[in-house]
Amino acid sequence: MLIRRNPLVMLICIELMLNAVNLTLVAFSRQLNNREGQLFALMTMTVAAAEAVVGLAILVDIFRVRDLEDVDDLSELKG
Amino acid sequence: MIAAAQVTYTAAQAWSDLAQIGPIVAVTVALLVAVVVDLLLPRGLRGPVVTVIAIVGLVSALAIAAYRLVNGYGGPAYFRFVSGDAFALFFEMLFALIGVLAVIVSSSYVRRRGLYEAELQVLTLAAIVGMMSLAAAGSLVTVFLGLELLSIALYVSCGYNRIELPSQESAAKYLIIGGFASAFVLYGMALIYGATGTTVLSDIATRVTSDSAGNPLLLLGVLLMGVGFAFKVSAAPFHMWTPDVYQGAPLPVTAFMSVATKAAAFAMILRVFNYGLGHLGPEWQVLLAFTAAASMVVGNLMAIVQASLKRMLAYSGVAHAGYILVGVLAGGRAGVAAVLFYLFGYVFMNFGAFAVVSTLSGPAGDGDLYEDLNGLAYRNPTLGVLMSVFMLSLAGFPPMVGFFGKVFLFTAGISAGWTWLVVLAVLTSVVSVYYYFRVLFHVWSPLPEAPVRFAFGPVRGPVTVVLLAGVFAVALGPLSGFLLQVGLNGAAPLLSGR
Amino acid sequence: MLSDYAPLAIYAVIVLAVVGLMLTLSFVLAPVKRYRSKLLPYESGIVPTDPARKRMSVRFYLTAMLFIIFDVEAVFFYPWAVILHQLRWYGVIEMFVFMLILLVALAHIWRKGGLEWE
Repeated sequence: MLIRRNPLVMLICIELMLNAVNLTLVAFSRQLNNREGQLFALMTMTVAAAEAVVGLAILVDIFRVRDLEDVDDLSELKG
Repeated sequence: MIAAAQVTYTAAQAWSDLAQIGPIVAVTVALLVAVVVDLLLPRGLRGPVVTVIAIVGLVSALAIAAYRLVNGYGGPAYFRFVSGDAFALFFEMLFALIGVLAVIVSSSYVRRRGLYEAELQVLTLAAIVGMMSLAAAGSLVTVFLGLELLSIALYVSCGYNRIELPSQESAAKYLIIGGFASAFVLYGMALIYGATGTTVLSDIATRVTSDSAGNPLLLLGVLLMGVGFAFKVSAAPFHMWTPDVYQGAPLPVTAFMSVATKAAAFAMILRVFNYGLGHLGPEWQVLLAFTAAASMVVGNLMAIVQASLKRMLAYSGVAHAGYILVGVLAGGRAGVAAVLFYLFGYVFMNFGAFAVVSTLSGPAGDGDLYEDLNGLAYRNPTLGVLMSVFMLSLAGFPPMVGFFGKVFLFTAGISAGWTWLVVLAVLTSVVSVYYYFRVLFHVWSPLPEAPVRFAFGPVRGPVTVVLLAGVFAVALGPLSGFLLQVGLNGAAPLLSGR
Repeated sequence: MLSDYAPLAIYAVIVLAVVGLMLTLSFVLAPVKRYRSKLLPYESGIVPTDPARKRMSVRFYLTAMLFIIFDVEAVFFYPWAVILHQLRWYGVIEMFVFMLILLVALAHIWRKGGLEWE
């Protein structure tokens, strides 16, 4: 995640991290015979979807204003 | 296989559960009504009506929370996933108050900048629902949901000025770094769930004893959550996003974000670390002590060299996160109460300062340089005097609330044995006087010869807010005894059962 | 404590080894013949007319985003349906509140023109 510079790929990486968490949660849920983990995984899924959608929307909005392929191009704000 | 547990859920239980989250329900209903109203009304009426609905919703949330706090109602709800205790009610009142101020400021700001009004208010309400759920969380699941609700609403608010690249850049940066932090927090939560077999905080508190310190799952979970939380409160060394995001976002959003997110994130830290993982104190304290020290040093030193007021306030926010962490580290009744007290005071002084800066913006952009403040005390005496009050309060001068807040935090820190940290905090706050006084210098400098970049538009709304915040910042000083009592009351639920 | 995870570590090592072995073997042993119809995306399938990597209209993104949101929300109906009998009327009312919130969101998208293609 940290070595990628394309914002879209970074977004995908965040989703991958959330999926890894989901897998962990479900595995623990199974191992501990406890359903809270499954509940947690469902919540994570919806949240991940919401985050992905908002992220895509923001990036699409930026692409409309200017072409952007690298996060280093986002350097309007510095001080 | 997993056996199905029997659920018996009665009407009485349903009503009492709903009452426990009364303030959250009030804001949610206001949010839904606002969305529908925004669709049905003619274009010209939408903005003002939605603003009024938002204020009504927030004020009723405030009233419900105050009523329940005074009458001492409160307890767990929804199978202990949520709690309506005094701690939650304290923060719910705080968020409702900030919400009212933020809604008024943004209403005037969007009109001056020619942005669409209704949706920003809806987003603010959504963020407040998230913050309230965070403060009321009784389970890691609820903590995560509240955290994400507030973050996602704020990502969108940051990019609200869709035609300006800085605003969008701020949104993108906040989104990517915020998403990264959330994933960290979530992974920590998953590991803690794996180690304890429950997500309910009160169960975690009983299952995690000081013997659990050797459990690698638990330790890794604490580490990951600590990193994620540090991102959210913008504590160094995880603060790099703060200045960029604060500078790019529309000013009312920055003002709201700088105080409300910080308060919500500290509510979360207190709930999860001081309450849920209280017995692992020695482990997470090392982590937080390091971030506290780094935040105070980095925040104060970097604030000196900034040219933009927004960036200066952002770094000052980093420094204040460091001070508040001292109270978190101290823990116990005194520490938690001091944190609540300081957050309450900090919210008003910092929001007030941002609200003053927001009056300087016009259709052309935001005036956020020191020079834009030149002669403010003569152009608009009310704003000038109040800006000075906020700066003195942030710097921690005696009659102001900031002074009492620091006193409570640092005495709690010393009595808990964090002397070196308190010494560092005092030294760095002496440094901070320099950049707060630089603002005062510009505010009270004579009127510039050249025409000012930003003349005042119709700013009655923000002036009212600034006045309100100023009154709070001044009045809370003498009233600090009372507020500390409220804070102690709010701290109690976190410490019972131990 | 950590030694409990030893089987897992061994398992991971074996998996990596097997996968790596299979990939290298097929890379080394397989005969490579490069000519036009072998390099097509669908060998002995439809002949592609233009490159697959062309720019998509942003409207596809919009539709996909809206779809994802409502699609994933439906996941909450499954656990609800399993215990509906135990929840009785409260469960039904709760789910109607949930659906009402989703409906408000849908109405918002509709009125703001999110569903229009052109």
